[in-house]
Amino acid sequence: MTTVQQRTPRPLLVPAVIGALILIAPLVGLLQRAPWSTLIERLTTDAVLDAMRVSLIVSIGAAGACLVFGLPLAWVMARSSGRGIAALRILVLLPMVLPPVVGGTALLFALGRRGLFGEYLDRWFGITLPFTTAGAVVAATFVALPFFVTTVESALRDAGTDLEEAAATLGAGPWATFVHVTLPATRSAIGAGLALSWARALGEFGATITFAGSLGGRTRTLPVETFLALETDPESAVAISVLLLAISIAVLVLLRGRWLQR
Amino acid sequence: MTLDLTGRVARGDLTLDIDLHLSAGLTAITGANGSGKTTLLRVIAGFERLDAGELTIDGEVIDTSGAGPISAAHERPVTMMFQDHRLFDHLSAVDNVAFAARRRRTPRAEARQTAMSHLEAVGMASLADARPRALSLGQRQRVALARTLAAPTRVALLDEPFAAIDESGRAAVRALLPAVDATYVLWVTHDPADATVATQHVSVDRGVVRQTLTR
Repeated sequence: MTTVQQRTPRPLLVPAVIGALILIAPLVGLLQRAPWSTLIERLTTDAVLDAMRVSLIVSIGAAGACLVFGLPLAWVMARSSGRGIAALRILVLLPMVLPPVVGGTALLFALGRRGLFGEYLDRWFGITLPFTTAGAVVAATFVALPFFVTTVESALRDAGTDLEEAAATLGAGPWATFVHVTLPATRSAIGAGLALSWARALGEFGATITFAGSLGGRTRTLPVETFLALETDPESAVAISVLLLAISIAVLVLLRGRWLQR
Repeated sequence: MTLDLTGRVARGDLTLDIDLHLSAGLTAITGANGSGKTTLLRVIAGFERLDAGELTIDGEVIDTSGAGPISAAHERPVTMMFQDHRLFDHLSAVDNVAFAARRRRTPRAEARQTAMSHLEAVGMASLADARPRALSLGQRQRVALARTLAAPTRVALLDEPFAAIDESGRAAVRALLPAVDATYVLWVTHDPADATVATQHVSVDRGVVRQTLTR
């Protein structure tokens, strides 16, 4: 059996094609300019390898921070209600729409050496965040956390408390229930949240350069390196962009079961 | 030794007025759909609070609307089998049944061995390694029943435990009721044949929960 497809109304067709082109054209432009024959060389220069190393440390560190802090936050938000939680939910989403440079500026005034909390971090613990790799991790975590929390929170909401009740009547306390029932039941959402937050952290630019700067080998991530290379060595900038594009596509393909269902 | 539950529970349109003093043994709970049978079990299990009154098991206060300690669901000497089974999809049938023993730190091999004997009792031993998702509704119900039987407590609550099991198999699982390792077994049923096994009856009728007969 084949269903007859509804014909697309003409007035929708032209803007739809333009919309798709706005998304696709830049990628074609990028791939057309890519220095395919020297791609490997350009991606293995000392500067790019340094940036790759920094990017890996920063993005994996940020994804790890999302797991450690975001999972408990998602659980609390999914299992609580009230006005405070509604306000918290808006705040958690904020970094998704906030210009990253504003996030970086805010981090500077909160965690900088003269910042509200940064002063005490420095004085009591000797921790300095701005312009350090740890600072870059904090900046990346700031922008990536909403992706993790919203993904996991909605999965926890969907899962509901049915299985948790069943575990309780079998004698499992709240922690045992979380570890042995809730976590396994939401593991695919946790995996998706990790992939999304990692990809977002890998691509982070604005908050990172504002809060952590661009110190080679310490805070100069691949996106920052791309931006700098555009001035001096555009071919390398294109090469790194192709690499980041490939990683982004790979993440989406990995998640296709969740979001790219027909 | 008795299970005493007296008081009131209000949930939306439903208000239950409860007065129960149950002796050890098998108690059949009957009543129309939506009359509040499940709510009654949820109060005993610890998922709904009493708005007035008290629940005591063998003289120990478990829940009270007055001042006093209230036991959380996982601390109560109560286990419950849900109408919608609520099996853990990430565990095989045998590991579902072994769940309660594992939480009491019984070694894995021992917990599984005990679980297997309970699966055998409900006729599910051959599907011990199957995931709940791969089982039919009736098979899932059998596993849920085995999981409850494998969690010895003083009070076992079963919400329509045989509803999804076919007529031919029902007599065999019904025969398991007296073997349940609990002082008080309360089960919700619509099946008149079930009632013949019961030593006590509770009716839930328009929000009034009463014992109707003791044999």
